[in-house]
Amino acid sequence: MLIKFGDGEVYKSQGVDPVKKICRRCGNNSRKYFYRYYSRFHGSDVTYCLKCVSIGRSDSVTPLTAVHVERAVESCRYHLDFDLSDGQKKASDRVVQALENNENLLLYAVTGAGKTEISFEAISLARQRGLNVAFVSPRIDVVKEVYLRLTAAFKDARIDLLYSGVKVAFDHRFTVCTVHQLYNHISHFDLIIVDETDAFPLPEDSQLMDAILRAATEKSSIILMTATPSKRMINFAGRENVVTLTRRYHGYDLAVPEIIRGSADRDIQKNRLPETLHMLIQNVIAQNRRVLVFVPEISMMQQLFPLIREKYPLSASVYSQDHERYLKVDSMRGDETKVLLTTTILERGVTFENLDVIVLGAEKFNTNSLIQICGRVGRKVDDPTGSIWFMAAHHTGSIRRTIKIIKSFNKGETAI
Amino acid sequence: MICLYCHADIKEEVNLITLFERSRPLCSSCKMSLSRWREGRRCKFCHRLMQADEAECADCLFLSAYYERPGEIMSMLDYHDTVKMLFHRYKFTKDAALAEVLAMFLECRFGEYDFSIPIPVSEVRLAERGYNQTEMVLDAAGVKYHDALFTEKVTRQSELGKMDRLSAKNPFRFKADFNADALEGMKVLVVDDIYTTGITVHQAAETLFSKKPVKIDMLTFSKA
Repeated sequence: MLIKFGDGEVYKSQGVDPVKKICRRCGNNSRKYFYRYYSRFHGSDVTYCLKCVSIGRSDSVTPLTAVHVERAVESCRYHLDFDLSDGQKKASDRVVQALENNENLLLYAVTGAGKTEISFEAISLARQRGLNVAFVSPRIDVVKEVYLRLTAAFKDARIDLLYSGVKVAFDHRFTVCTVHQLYNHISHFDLIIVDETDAFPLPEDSQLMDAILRAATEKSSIILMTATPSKRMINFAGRENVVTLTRRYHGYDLAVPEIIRGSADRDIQKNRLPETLHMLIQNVIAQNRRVLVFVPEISMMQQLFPLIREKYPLSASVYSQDHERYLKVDSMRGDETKVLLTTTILERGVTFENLDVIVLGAEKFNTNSLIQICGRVGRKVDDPTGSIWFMAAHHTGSIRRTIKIIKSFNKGETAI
Repeated sequence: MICLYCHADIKEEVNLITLFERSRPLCSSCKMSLSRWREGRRCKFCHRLMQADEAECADCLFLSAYYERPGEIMSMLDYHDTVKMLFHRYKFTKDAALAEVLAMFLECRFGEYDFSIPIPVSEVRLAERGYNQTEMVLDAAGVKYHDALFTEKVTRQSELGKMDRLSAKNPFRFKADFNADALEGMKVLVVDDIYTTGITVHQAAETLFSKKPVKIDMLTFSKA
């Protein structure tokens, strides 16, 4: 069932209960996320939910209506330009098995394992049986990227793409979307693949997790994919339903970070380029490589960037609200940018060749972020490794755990 | 309180100055990114970003061939991605709260005009959206205005090409309950949400000019 405004039968007589302050679509019941105003058109107050307004407004004056979509079979063949590694093949079999048995699965795979492709066989099978499939992620960047990869591989399939402001809709049987979009789907998908399950805001937002469950049919498979599983994810799938992939698709070890003690804060505050940072960048440039410099706060980045720019004209800085983010990321793939300053926004979803990484103020990052950041290095067969430097004022549990996890991956073990 | 653009909690520092200020429903980082203007040479009249080889603004030249030139065109925000998303949410997902955000940027000396007249929306669009997006911003800012015009036009402007818009007959007429003759000799401000080709506001101005006001200026929330 799909919630569609002005179409289908009434599912709830109003989207928002203005007295109890509950949104019947997304389940929001936190007062601060409701907005009330007097509407001259309705001649009354209107209360609506701010939590899910980006997918069309759920309010106190409009009923929620829903349409039913018939299932349909599609041949849904796909083509890959390469063969899956043995590890990928085994994981792919487990995903197919989960689909057969209507089980949930947690695919715990290192960064750069080739997770997306592992799901292709199950997607194809599900569609051939007429089951509805959703590939979702909390991050828009990931959704866009996955859509490109899926449309390239599944050439004849009709794939819907939904994220805030963008809608390519066919018949709702094979959908790539952000998790938020699932609020409009009720018991609809038989196979849901959740990529980057650990990414903000999914782990913190139990409403979003509920949305995934509500979008799934009774006999469904939910496949969670992540490089950093939480206890909750493991419990969700069940310990026996965790598939691990400790090798990258190209077979090389993950790069292990090197820790450099010291804080860059004081230098930056005094408008000086920290000497250690300068040396590290110089080193990278001398070897004709490029470097991502992760900075814990936007304000720090704004102070540091002019100092870097002065020494290295081929540099840029990005953060989430940056309008030229995609342009700048692209310029890092060419020769226009060699040094890119970034917040955690680029911790996942990006691949650059010949890349090294520096993390400033590494003591301020959590384990999940650090693991993702380390995962940016050595993603290509032609450049399977690189250097990672953590500049940290002091050692933290997160840094220790990061190194432990990476080392155990390299030994073929996982931390759970 | 939350920011009505990004929905994050607003944690403004409390000091002697901010303590007595009215709290604003927009966080400082959203405010910064919304108020940004893209760099480049702009038309001094309509504020459009011009091509390098453009001596005079082609849009303004085009309009001046068909319509009387207004006194001044004012624009509050550049139409870059952040602002585009704001209008998408405000107009198409019905996120009415964003009227308060737009109202924060409304800096215009309305007192200098005898009539401030917002561009109307059709009955069909009003029923769909539930509000006139231009009036609602003026309401939120506490600006008095005159609901002088009506339109029967239904096709979305964004779905029409420039020539289509031009060849369609002027869709704006005076409302029966508005005393249009009162405009004679008066200073008028036409207010619209987004200025794209400018044809919409110029058509409204054409209707208003027929009553011989001394001046018509234009205010748009964003210049596309």
